[in-house]
Amino acid sequence: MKRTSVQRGLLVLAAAGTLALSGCGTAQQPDQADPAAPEMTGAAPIDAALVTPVFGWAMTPDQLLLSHDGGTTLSPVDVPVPAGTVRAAHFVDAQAGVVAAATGDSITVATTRDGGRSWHTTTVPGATPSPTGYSSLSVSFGDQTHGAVLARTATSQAFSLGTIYVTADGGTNWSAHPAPEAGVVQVEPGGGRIWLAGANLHASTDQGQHWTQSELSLAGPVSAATVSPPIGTTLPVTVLTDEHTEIQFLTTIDGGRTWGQPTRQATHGRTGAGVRLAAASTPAGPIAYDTVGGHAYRPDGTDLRPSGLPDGIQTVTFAPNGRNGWTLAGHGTCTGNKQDCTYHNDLLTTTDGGLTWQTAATWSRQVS
Amino acid sequence: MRAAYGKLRSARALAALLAGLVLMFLVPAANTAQASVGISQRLGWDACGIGSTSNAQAFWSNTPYWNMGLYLGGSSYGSGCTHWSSSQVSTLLGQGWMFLPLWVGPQAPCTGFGSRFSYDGATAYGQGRNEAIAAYNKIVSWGWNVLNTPIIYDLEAFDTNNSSCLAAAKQFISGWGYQMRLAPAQKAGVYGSGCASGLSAYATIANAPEFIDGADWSGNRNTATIACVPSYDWVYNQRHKQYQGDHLETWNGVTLNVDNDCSNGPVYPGPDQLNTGQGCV
Repeated sequence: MKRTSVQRGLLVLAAAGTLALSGCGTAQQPDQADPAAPEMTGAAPIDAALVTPVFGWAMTPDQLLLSHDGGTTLSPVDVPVPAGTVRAAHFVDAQAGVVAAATGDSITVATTRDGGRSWHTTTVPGATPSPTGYSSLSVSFGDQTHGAVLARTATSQAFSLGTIYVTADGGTNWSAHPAPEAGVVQVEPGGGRIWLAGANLHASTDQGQHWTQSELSLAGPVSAATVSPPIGTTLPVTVLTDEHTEIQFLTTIDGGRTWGQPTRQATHGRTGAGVRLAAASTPAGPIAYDTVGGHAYRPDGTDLRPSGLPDGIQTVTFAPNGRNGWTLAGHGTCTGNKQDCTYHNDLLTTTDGGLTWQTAATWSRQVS
Repeated sequence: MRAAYGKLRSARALAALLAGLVLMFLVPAANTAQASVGISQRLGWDACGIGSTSNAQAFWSNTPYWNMGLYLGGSSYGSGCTHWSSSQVSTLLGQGWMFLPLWVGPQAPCTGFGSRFSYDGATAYGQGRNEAIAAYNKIVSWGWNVLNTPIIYDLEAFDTNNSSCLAAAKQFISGWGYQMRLAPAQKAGVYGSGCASGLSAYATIANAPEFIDGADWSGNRNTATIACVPSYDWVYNQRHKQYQGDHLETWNGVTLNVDNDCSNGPVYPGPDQLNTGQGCV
C-alpha cells in the first residue's frame, strides 16, 4: 500500500520526536535486525553469553539454546528445570555449566559437565524461603566446584531483598544465607570471594555467611547508584544524577575493600535506578556499553562508537581472545501513536573486538 | 433563571459563553479540577527508580503504556527510589499518565522488614488509620482532588499460615480502609501477592479494601484471574494486576527496571478508559 504524503509527514514528525526524546541524534536507531538474521519463534532470551570464540548460550523462559559456531546457529537442549521467567545460567567453559530456575519458593539447579548432553539436577533447600517466591536469579561459578545463586525475593519495586545459595562441591550441596540485598553475584575461582553487586558492593569470604560492604567513593551528585561486579581492579558503577546517567569506573588498591579514583563518562541513554550498564571484560580492559546503540566506553573516557548495536543493550560478553563477542539487547517501538507496539530482542555478534556487530537472531512480540 | 436567560440574549454574553465552551475543551484542567478517579482498563508499569520526569515521558510517548504506579512514600519506601516533588507530579500528570498511587508503610509483624506494624490488633488497626492519614496528607500536599482518589497500600508477602500475623494484617488493613472512608473519602486499595499477602482474607473484613492490586507474575494480563483470589471477589472494576515482575525495558532511549500492570480498576485521575483491547479484561 502506498503511503500518502501526510502519512510520510507524520512519520517524519514521529521520528523527530523519538530522536528528541533519546537525547542524541544518533541514539535511537531503527530496528537494525540484519535482514538475513533468523526471526526466532518463542519467548526472547533472558540472558546470553559467549564463553569461547565458538561456544555460547542463550536462555529463554523455556529453552536453553547452545551455539557451537559463534552464534550462526542456536540449538535447543533439554534441561530438566521448570519453565518460567525466573531463571539464570552460567557456563565456566564449553563443558561445565549450570542452569537455575525458580518456581514458587523452591529453586532447581541443573549442572552439566559434558556441554549440555546430560544434566544433574538438585532442588536447592531454602533456609529462609520467600513466602511469595523469587522474581529473578543470578548465578555464577568461579570454577567447576565453587558457585552461588542469588535469588531476589518477589516484592514490589520498593524493596530489594535476596537469599544467596552457595555450593563448594559443584552443586551437590548448597547452603542458604540472607543476602544483604538483591543484585548480581560473581564468584572468584578457587573458593575465593563472592561478590554481590546491587546498590552497593558486598563481599563474602566465608561462603556467604557474612558480608562486608565495600566503601565506594563516587564522584558528583548521586541520586542512585547501581554497581556491576568488579572487572579485575576496576568497578563499573552506573550513576544517576538528577536528570542524567553516567558510568563511573572506580579502582581499588587494597584488594577491593575500598574503591575510588572514579573516572566519569556521561551516557547518551538514560536509565532509572536498578539499571546497570552492561560491562564486559576484554584483554584490553573493561568496556561499558551505553543503553542506546553506538556508544561504548573505556575507563579513560574513550567512546569506541561501535556500529550495528540497537538500543537496550543488556549484556555483553567477550571470549578470552577479545575478538569474538555477544550482545543481548531489547527495545520497544510502536508504529502508531501508542498502537501497534512491538518489543524487539536481538542477539548480536562481533568478530572484531566489538567495533562492528551483526544481528545473529531476533525475537519480536506484540505488546499492545 | 430569568436574569440568566436575559444574559443569554445579549450578544456579548453569548460570545463569552462560546469562548468559555471552547476553553473547556482546549485548556487542560488544573490538577485540582480533574476527576479524581477513573476506571482504567489499560496497560501500565511501575518502578521505584524512574529517576526523572523526562524518563517517564520516554515511557509515555508512542508506547503501549497509559498507567504508572506512582509511589507516594511511606516508612518502607526505599531511599534509592525516586521521591517526587509536587511540581514533578504535576509534570507527570501533564504528560498524560493515570496513576496507581502506592503507599509503602509498615509491613506484617512476622516479616523481617525494618518497619512493621504490631501483632496487637487494636494497635495494628490504629497504625492502619495513621498510614491512611499520612497518605492522604501526601496527596493533599500535591494539590490533588482527594475525593474518591484511589490509594493502594503496598503489603508485602508474609507467612499467612501464621494466624496471629494474619489477624494483625486484617486489623491493619481494616484500619486503613476505615480511615480512607472518612469524608472526604478516598478509595482504599491493597497491593500484594495474591497468595502470599493473603489478599482474599481481606474481602470479608470490616472496611474491606474497595479494590486490589494483585501480584501474579504469570504473564497473563487478564485481571479476572489472580492466583489465590476467588473470581467472585472484587469484580466491579476493582482489580489491577501486576502480571510481570522486575525486568528491564527500553523505550525511546530510556531503560528502566519495571513491573508490568494491567488494570480494570480505579486510577487517578479520570476519565474512564474502557474497552481498550489491551487484554486486561
